[in-house]
Amino acid sequence: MNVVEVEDLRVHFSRRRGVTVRAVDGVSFTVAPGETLGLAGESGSGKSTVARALLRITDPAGGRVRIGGRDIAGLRGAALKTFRRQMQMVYQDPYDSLDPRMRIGATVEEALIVRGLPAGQRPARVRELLERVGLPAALATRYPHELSGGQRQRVSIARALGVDPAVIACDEAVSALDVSVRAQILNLLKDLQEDSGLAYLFISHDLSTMRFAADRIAIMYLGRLVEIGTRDQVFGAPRHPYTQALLAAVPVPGARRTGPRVRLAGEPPSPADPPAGCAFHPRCPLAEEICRTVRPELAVKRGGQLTACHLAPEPERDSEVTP
Amino acid sequence: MDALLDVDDLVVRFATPNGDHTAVRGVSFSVAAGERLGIVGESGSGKSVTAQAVMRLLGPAATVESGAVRFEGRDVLAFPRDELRRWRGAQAAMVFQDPLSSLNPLVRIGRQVTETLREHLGMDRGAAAVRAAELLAEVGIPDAAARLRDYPMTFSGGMRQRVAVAIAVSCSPRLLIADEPTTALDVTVQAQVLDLMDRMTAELGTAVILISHDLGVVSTFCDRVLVMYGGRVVESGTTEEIVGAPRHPYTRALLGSIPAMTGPLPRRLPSIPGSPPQAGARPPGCSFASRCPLAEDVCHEIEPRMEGGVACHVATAAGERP
Repeated sequence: MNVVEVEDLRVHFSRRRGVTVRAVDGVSFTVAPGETLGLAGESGSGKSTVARALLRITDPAGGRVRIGGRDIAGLRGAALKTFRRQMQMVYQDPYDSLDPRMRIGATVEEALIVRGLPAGQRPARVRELLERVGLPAALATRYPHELSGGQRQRVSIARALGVDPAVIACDEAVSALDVSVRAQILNLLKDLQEDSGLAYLFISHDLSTMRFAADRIAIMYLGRLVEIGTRDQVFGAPRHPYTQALLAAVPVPGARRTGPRVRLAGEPPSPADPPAGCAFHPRCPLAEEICRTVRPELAVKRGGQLTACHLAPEPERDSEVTP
Repeated sequence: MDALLDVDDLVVRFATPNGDHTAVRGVSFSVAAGERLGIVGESGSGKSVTAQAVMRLLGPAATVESGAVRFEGRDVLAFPRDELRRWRGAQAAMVFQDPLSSLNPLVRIGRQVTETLREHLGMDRGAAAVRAAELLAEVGIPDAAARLRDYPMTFSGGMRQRVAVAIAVSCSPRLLIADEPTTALDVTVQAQVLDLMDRMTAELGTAVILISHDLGVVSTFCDRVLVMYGGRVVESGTTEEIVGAPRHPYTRALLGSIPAMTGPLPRRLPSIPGSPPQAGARPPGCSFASRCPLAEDVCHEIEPRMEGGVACHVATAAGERP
């Protein structure tokens, strides 16, 4: 059974003068235990809002979210607390999310209190958690400012693990780290997953990191998924022109450039006033008349992934496999 | 070819509450007219401090302890205030990671562009306004003439960075230093800004120093690359050499830790243990020794000198190439 099931999720924000921004506009996906689903897209695409809605930090305007088989809409009080043990979040900047006045040990212990672990068992468990994320247990007496960025991110992960969650949302969790430290944290996340069957919702704007971290990848544009498939499908043979442009724009070390980099002019339009038809059509080099009027739905295209594009090639008869 | 910019054995020291700290420890390089030099490094490598020292933009806590910065043979570190002001903007310009730090949020875009033109090129108000609109149009700002009246906050991050590039190149500088100019931008917008810098600098024959933590960005833009670590240059060479046949164990590890966009992926990424050295006490020997898989006794005792493009006891001895 899937640990995360999201169906037609909608998140709206009200702005002044009654303008409603559809930050997330009908998003559906699942995450299986032990699986990493990557959520990629440019700033303003709604990818972080999806994670916040899943954690009930933001309340959805519509759709259904099941975490661990349980519908999270309407959860209150103790039930909401119990649910939050199922799903945890690790943020981009651990310095913002760790209390600077609390020792590392106390920060991790908080999670154990939430979980209801008796006081006598907590110190041993704190040591165990720190060691599990590759930190010496002696660090428990230190404060966040005494740690390096990578160590702080390990503490955030230890704290998230403290409640024994089934799924962790990593929101740009390695983006602020130095390149040489980033690889350590990515490897740690994989180790933890293999040990305990954790699922990750891995949000990142960095596509090379995404390719390593994620088993399946969903590409978001202006609040909607435009493509979702396995890593090999999305990176190997992307079907949506937006995915193609996004991948082509990644500067790869050593790739000699011939001609301009740009495949995609302009910037994403405001989600407060999305274009009619396919939201990508004003920037799409292939757009035709139908793209300006009819919004394409996600459908299986050639290669097997789901793509929301009128012009993506249809599947050949023998390869109609849903990812 | 004569160097446009020549940096020789630069040492920059910071005063901190915990004592002095040397952020740049003997950095030397030169840039010829029209050349593109990349400086790659992680936090604490000294790459940004080097750029600030060259531009004479160091904060009050920092001092250039020794070394020289020469621009067309002139001693930049000895420029009096008014000469410095004439040089910056007109002959040497800088673009920062966050364009909001170089654009005044309270001043309309138009005035910020015309200010530079009037000060350095002596244009009158009308001519400067016309030129400002042209410049914004050249960097791809739609409806440029009308947008001169807008404030920076009404521009997106990508648009602000275009404005910053427009201001930087407005007086056709001979040298442009760009410090992580695209790090805060989305990848498609990053491509647009890099293309823009390509076009502007190619047209003007400007020498560019591009500073970035991203070897991908640097290698698609630069002719030559310096790799910095712990306040020193540990490897330098052409982009092909650095990316295709890196010699320093740090450069190799850095390249190895970036997941490939095509082909098979390893089960685990090759990673470097520990973190880059930050301000504070520094052990003797090579700064990278404590994280280096190849370190020998000598590496912990004697700081390696730059020889033949690499500062490493082991790489030079072994001469191995991957």
